Amino acid sequence: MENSPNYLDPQTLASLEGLDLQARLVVEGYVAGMHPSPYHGFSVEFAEHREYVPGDDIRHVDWKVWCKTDKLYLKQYEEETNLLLYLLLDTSESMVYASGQNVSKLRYAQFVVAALAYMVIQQQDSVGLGLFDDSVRRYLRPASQPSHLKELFHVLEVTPAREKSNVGAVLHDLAERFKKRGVVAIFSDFFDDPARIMAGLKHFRHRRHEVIVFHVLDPAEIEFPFRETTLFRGLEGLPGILTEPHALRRAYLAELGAFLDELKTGCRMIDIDYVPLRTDQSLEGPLSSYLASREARAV
Amino acid sequence: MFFPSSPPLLWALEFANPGLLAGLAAASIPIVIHLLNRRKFREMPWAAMQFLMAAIRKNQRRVRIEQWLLLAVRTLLILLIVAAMAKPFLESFGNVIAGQRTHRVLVLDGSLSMGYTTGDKSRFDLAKDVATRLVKDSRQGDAVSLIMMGEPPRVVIGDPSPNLTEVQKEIAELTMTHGSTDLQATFEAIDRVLDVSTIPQKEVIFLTDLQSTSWRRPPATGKDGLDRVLAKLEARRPRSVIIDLGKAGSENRAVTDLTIDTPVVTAGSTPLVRAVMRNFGPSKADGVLVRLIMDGRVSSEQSVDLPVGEDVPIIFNQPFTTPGDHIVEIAMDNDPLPLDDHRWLVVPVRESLSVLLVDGHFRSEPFQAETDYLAQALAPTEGSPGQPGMIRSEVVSESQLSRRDLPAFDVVALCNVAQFSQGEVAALEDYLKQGGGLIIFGGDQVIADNYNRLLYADGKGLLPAALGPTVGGAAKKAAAFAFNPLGYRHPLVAEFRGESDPVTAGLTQTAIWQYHKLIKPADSNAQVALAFDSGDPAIIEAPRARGKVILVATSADAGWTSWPLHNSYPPIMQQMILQAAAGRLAERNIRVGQPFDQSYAAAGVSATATVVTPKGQAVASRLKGTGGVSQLHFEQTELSGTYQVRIGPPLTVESTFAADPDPAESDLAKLDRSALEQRLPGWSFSLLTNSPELSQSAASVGRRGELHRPLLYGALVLLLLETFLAWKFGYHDSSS
Repeated sequence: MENSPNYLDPQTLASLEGLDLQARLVVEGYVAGMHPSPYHGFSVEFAEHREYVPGDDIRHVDWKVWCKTDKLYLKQYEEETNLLLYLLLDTSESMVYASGQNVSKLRYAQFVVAALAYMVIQQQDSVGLGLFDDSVRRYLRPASQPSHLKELFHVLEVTPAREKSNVGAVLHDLAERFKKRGVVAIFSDFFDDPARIMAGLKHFRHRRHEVIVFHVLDPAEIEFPFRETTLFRGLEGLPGILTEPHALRRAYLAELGAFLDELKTGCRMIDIDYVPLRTDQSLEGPLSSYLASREARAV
Repeated sequence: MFFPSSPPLLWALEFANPGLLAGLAAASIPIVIHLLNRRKFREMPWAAMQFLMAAIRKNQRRVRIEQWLLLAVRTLLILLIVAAMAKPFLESFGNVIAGQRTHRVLVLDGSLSMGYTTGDKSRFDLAKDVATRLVKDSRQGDAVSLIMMGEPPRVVIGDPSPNLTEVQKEIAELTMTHGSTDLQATFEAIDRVLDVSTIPQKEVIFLTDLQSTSWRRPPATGKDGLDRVLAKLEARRPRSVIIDLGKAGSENRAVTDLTIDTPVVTAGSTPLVRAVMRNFGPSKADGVLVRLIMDGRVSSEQSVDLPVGEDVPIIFNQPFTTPGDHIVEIAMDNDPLPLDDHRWLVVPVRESLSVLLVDGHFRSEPFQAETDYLAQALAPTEGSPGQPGMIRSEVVSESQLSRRDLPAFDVVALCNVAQFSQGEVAALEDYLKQGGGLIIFGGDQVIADNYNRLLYADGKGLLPAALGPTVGGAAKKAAAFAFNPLGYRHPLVAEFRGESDPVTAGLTQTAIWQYHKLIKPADSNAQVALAFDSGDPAIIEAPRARGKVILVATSADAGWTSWPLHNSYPPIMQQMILQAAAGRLAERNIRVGQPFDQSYAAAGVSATATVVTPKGQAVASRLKGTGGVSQLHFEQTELSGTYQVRIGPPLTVESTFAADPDPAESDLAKLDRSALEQRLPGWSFSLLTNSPELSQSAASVGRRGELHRPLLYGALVLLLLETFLAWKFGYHDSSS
């Protein structure tokens, strides 16, 4: 086992073909290290009993009631599925940036999105998917069937990255679309105006969604390690800039730091979980963050 | 530290390795790298543009300034390093190229003024310290010569010596003289030393107090000589440095003169000893104690006040009771320059003076012989200038002249001697060489041609004037001439100066009927002591060899003049004897640095001579024969004080002489840069003034003018600055 590849490493994972395989390996690799099984960790809200009618799944028969009353009752849950997870992925051009050997931010986010979707469908919960740049490109309504997972993987894989991002506007749009309350996980680099982003996030919260922000950044974007004179070619239609990066490093890091602080503070203010992701990090981090977040909410 | 006393006029920059200056082009490397960086860049897509753009917007100006600053520092750094490698130096310090092999000529001022002592060190000690330090700090391969500036200068190490330890030893053994300096001879010595040097780079360092007297130009005749030597020296293009160890306004008092009022001292006499004091300092000195020390014992003392810049004479009545050499020393309270606070006078006291009177007209009857009046005049009489029994005379006829041992007499008087043989003339010349006094009277028997041919010899002989035709006629006594005392200036007649008419009448009323017309050459150093009213000289006095010749135009007896009958005759004749004898006695006192010459009888040739210097050091020598005499020539008289001379057999003579310093050396007035430039025009030098750290930092003398060290230090500072700036500007951020 020690020599078996670590599928939680994004680079190892990227060498495999097919998101379905990749998602399964991630989840199983992750689950293998956990006790007890997270499949039983999900609490579903009990609503009422109803009388058994032929054809009902006997798994939901409340045997305690049968022992006492000799009648078959089924446990009635509040929803058919116990969780609605909306996965929102930024596919704007800035997300394709990758430094060195790292996978692109988009690819990394795809792994996480796929893994989460896989995990949620495995629990019979529903998962929806939204891909956006400056507007919503694709949207899959939440569903819990395994076939849905296949479609979801397909959409993830075929949708190309392009255009500028407009996170704020898109969040407003999506907030309006999600009628049912659920968990909204947003994967983006959030290279946009923080105020508009926060406005969009607030919209979700207003609709009483739980929101987890997965902020995906490349290590180079965090550390800015460049020394040689470089022409930085702007993505998303921004002009190129020829400059001495070492002279600007501190100023750049200050700007980035201020942005991150604003984002984090804003999220905390409206009770949003903020999860920073680095594309050179293991995929275990994001999954743990998600599950920890879910458990905290369930308490 | 050393500082030039005033900024040099020209600060021309030159380079030892000018070829390396091509490397200055390397200064463009940082600029080229900068430009290449701008042209060669990597290109990459970038997502987080909004932060980069914000950073640029806020920092573009700062980044540009930082870049230019770093670029400037790096360019300057390379410029400094390349410039340092080219070894620049300032031309104003001479053409000595730092780091190259140098022939260093150290010239130490050894004159008396260098004995000025502050604390426990004299200026000469300080000069030795600095010289030692200079030698110690010389580079490997440098060679050193050593010259003492004096009169005459002494070349201690002529050939450039690379053995620096040996040079230091020589410096340690140097002792200063009490003499003066000969500037021209010193520069000539330097030039000779540089002439034999094969090392192309030369440096001459003077360690001197820059005393005005020491650095005076030689007398006018030598003016061209000094300028020529300086021009010759300059042509060798040495770096000349003067390290000034003197101080303006130094206190000094000195005994500047010591004389005795009579040319000849005889036992039992009490002549007047006259000493002159002078205060050369800037402030008055009161109550200075002056002692007369006779033969090592304090004889008398006086307290004197010495105003600034005035000669103050002091008179002592000093009896001399016994014959022989007596040492009179005048000493006063010591000041910072003690060497000139003493002065010595060796007084050879005679029992009596012996005079040989050679009579050309010898008669046995009283007052018929030529010398009778003269012999009578020299006999002791009341009121005569000498003491009773002071002069003993012996009369011989002219035929006996050649048979007498002349050196046994202090004075020989030739009275109306008709003519001389070659042998007699030679004997007389030898006699003069030994310091004898010769008095020649005219008369009717004198054969002028013989005198002119043998004694005058066209000015080369012993006579100070040629004999012309006789003037007047003694036979008829028709017309008489009178004496013109010429203002009584000459010592012979000085006694009459200021006397009343009846006294002077004894001289001026004298009748002279006949005399030889004396024809004195124009360039003669002879003095006319007395003249006739016709304007012709009556008595001519002149030094000849070491002795003295007095020529009298008229007769010694009453044949041509009535003078022997007048009361002025005896005192003047006695004075004449004393003056003539003075030559033999005066040579006992010399100036420091002058050679001591003493003549002895011919028998003394090759006799051993030992001279004991004031320091007690015995120097052996030998007498040498010159002409008909044997001679002691002693040159090591650079110390002031008394010297004992012992001549071995067959002569077996002991005598003493004294060497006194040049009073001019006591004047400590010093030169500054402009005064020195004025005195020695055309000589380029740099002047370093004395500072307390002089001996400690003498090493920097040899390195002045070099610029590569400061340049390298500057480069080092820039290197550190570049590192700091690069770190500060984030170029070398460790976290990156």
